[in-house]
Amino acid sequence: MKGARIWRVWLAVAALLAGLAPWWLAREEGAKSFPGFLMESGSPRAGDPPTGGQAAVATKPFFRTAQVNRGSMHAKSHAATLAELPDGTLLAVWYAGSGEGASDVAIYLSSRGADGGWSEPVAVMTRERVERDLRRNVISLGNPLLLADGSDRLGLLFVDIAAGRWSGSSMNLTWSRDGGRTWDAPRSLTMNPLANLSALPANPPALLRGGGWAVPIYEEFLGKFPETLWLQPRGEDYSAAVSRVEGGVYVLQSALVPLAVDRAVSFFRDFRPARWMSASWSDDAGRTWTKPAVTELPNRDSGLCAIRLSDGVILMAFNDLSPGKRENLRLALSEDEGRNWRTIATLEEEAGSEFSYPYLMRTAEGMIRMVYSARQRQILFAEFNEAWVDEQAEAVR
Amino acid sequence: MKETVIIWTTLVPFLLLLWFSQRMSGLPGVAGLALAAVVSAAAVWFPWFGHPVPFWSASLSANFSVIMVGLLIVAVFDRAFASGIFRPRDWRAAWIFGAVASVLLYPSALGLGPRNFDSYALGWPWLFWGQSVWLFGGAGFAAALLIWRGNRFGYVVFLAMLGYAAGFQESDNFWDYLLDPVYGAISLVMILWMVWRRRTGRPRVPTSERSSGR
Repeated sequence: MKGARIWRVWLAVAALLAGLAPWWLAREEGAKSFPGFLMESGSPRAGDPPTGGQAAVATKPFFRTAQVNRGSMHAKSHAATLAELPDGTLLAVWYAGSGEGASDVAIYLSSRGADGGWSEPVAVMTRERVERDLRRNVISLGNPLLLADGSDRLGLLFVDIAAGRWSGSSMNLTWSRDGGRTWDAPRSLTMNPLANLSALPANPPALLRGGGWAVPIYEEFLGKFPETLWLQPRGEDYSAAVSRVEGGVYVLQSALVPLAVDRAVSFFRDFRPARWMSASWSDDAGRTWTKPAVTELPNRDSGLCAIRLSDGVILMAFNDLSPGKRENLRLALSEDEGRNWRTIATLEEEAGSEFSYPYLMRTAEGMIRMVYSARQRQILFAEFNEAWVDEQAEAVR
Repeated sequence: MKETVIIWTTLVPFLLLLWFSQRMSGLPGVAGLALAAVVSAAAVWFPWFGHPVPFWSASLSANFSVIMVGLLIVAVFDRAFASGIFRPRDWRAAWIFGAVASVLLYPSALGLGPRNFDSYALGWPWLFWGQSVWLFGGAGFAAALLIWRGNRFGYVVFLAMLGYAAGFQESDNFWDYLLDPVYGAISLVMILWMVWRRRTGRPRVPTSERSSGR
């Protein structure tokens, strides 16, 4: 009897230690938590050779457009994102098929080489493949997002839908080491304790100091709210963890813009009755955020994207004043970290049409690349430089 | 996909079916267990709509908790051998633990709690190291207290912590080793049932539990 009691005491101590051991062992990794954002220099990289005509257009206003998915027969092509490989090749991915949530939806990839033309889109992830690799039911795919950090490894985040619509989606991560031609078996990322439901990416990731990305994501199951997915190097792979930006049911799809190593601003798609874009600021590297404050830019429940330019000004692509519709796509600038805005250009405007889900990226050379959906059928590409942005800003001043 | 996922997505539906078919067959002892095991294994591997049950259960959840698996194993053994592994107070501890954990986790994780607090994030110690001590320390303390007081549910919590250290599941969040929606829902129902029983003055534990208790 006494022996049994002694054993119980020993097991109780072991249980306490077993509880605390993983926490204690995470101490070293804990030092990496919220490591801060990697800030670009903002000027052309020293020693970088001029690529194509970019050196020439760096100071002269430059703007051009193209269609990425020319000849596409899909009824739906949407949610495109971009990334640049170390050799300067530009990649675009999007989902396409007969309709949102349809079983024939696949993730398509197209690359733009030195000649400036976009390649024939290739399905890099299909429902059948994801179902086989994850060994679970998949009814559709969506929301791909490329992760590039200048190394030869390229990441792809995308969602699979196991049931229903977007609220039944789960996020997956896969890697390519040959510029997106072949991809590893995807790994499901667990981000929600309730059947891992409803986490979706939409906007550009921010590079982290020490490697990895902060990826703005959102949930839309019972609550609709923005979060940050932290992908950090952990051993051979990347650990995934999620932090809350805001709870509730009124803002989602944040655009994360690092302002300094430990400072950032996020802009949100809004579906409150007033429908104005709101913004939150963080002073602790994205750990906590201020309560979203309404800005002076309208937002009619549509996707938006923002990036920081070399002089610290924020460039925003958004749908302006088209209640319930997305009939235009405009650019706006903010010189005070997102508090006040000036609309500088209209990229698209057509009554009854739809231009949506803009995605912006900026290279170290100052080139700005953008993809967006037209009528959710065409994936359009726009390329311009900061001199063109300055010219537009001057014209409306 | 983590290879251990197939174990969980097979084991949980198998144990659930085993427990259910044990109850349905009414056969006691090893014979009942063997018959139920054969029926359950056949049902789990039968291709329902072209795929076996693990395929569909992975679609529902790839992260059934270690505690859920432990409780199912105990329930199956107790029914087959009247072994009394768990006494009524052990079951009560299991339901209280599951209900409390559910209340602490799900509303906040679904965005229905404080505006920018997510209790689920405490399960990733490398991101929220400072705050996650409350979850890891709390689970360790609960297991230690239960074991020290002779409550056998404490050993199941202990196993869940060992499972996390070994990285058995697809999820690397500690919460998913302790709790899943099925265990959480059963716990909440059992707690409500126990409260109702107490209020109406009826026995606090089911007859089946009392008969196997020691």
